[in-house]
Amino acid sequence: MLLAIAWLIRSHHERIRVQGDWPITVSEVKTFLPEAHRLKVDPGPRGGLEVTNAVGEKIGYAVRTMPDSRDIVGYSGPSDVLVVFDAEDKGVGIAFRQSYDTPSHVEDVKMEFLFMESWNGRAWDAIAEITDFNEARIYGVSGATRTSEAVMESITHRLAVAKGGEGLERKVEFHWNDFALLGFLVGGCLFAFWKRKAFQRWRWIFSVATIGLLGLWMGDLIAQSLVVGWVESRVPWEATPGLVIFVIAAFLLPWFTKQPVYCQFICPHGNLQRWMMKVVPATWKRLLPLDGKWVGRWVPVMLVAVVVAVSFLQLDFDLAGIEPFDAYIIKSAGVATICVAVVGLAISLFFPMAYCKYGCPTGWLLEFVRKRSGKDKFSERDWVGLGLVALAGVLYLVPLNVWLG
Amino acid sequence: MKKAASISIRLFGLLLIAGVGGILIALPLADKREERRVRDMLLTVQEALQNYHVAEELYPRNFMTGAQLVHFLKKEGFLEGEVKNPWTGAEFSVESESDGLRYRTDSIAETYELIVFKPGTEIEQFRLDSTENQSLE
Repeated sequence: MLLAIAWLIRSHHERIRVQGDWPITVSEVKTFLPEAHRLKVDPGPRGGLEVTNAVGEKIGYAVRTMPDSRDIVGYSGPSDVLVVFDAEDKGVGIAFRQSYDTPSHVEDVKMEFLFMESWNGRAWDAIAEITDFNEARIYGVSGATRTSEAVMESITHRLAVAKGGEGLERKVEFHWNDFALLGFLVGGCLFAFWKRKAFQRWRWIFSVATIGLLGLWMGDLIAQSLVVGWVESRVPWEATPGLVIFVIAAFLLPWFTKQPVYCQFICPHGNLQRWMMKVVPATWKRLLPLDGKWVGRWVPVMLVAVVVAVSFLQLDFDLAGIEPFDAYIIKSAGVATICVAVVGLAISLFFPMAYCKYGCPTGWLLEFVRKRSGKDKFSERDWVGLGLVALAGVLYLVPLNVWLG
Repeated sequence: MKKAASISIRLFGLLLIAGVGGILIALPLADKREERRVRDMLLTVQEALQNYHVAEELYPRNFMTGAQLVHFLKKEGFLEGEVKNPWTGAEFSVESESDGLRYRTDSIAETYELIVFKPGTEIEQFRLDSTENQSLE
């Protein structure tokens, strides 16, 4: 279920990245490829749309020049141009989509069929390599020279940028903090699975280290903002391989071993709450009524639903603010995350581990994937998971314009 | 009796949580919707301004608020159709004291600036001009 939600978010954001504010429609492409039936987002370096016919065969490819060409200005502004290729990767036509340039000049260029059709029959690579337009026999439009030149440059620039992205190699590099994270992961696993008393008595040192080093110094806590960011764009294997392994292990360990290793042994905020439990007198502790517990367990579900909605609708909402984890990076912590951290810790003085149990959406996700003992039945958590998949499905299928007006 | 009270508490709690979630989404969603309306308005006005420049070879000379600019461009025939005030949803009214859009030009009216401020503040939200910020993308 989580993978389904992640796939929907990823696919939605790829669509937005490729299509931008003014998505290319099938009818635009039909002008050049009458058999066009569907546009499929290509998340690769070309970053365009594969055009398929009614039976699903690829019949062409379409790209828009914006936003890559936003700095290429004609008379008074840049233009967004549609470029369509056939199945052999040869141009079949261009069209203005939207322009910030002077409308009358744009009209002049549109009406100059010789210019508009001068791209037809040329291959993607050939256009991307053009440096001298005269040599390539593509000439500007008299009376709208700057606008037409901007269109020429926008097209070659857009295609060249995509070509440059092809075959780009990324090197995986481990730094000291990657090794430190892997060290915490190994430490957490040892304390979770190696139950020898002589070893377990050192757990308090590990716990303090997670708060001081992992939390306050490194600031590498697993949070919704981090996970959603990766799902929306890409997992940064090469930049922070240690963190990637750390996060993947945090999800896989409870699934395979039934042990919530990250939540119980590694999470700095969880460990801080455990220390608070130990320092306050036992008389402070209160018992939450059953109904309170039942209601409280829905808080993380609501927060996960909010995260899903924020991601799909691209709202200006800092997800770091719904969790206390960014408060550990004291220099840059926002007010919201500090409030969540302080209030969560204060409540946990009276209701032990209250934040973990009734407030943490990341903990809820890690618990969601945890394997349980006993018979595999369709339980309440599965229904909740289905509900979240349904929410993601609705947000994915209903066009963004419907939500944003 | 006890069971009914328990159900009521749970139902009330659930509604409260759903309400909080709704508010968390509704506020930024309203902002985003308004932002979209502002962008659409800005593009319409910018296009009309460009048409004016083609015809007159200069941009309008005076500093204007959004309402004044919309009325001016309409009167001069460069803006057709209805342009709604994105902050109120109603038509731009010249009588209103101010809105979030400001238009200005240089001393020889060869360049223009369209600046949108966040409502009630001097924080710049969008800027379209003829020199450096020529698109909203």
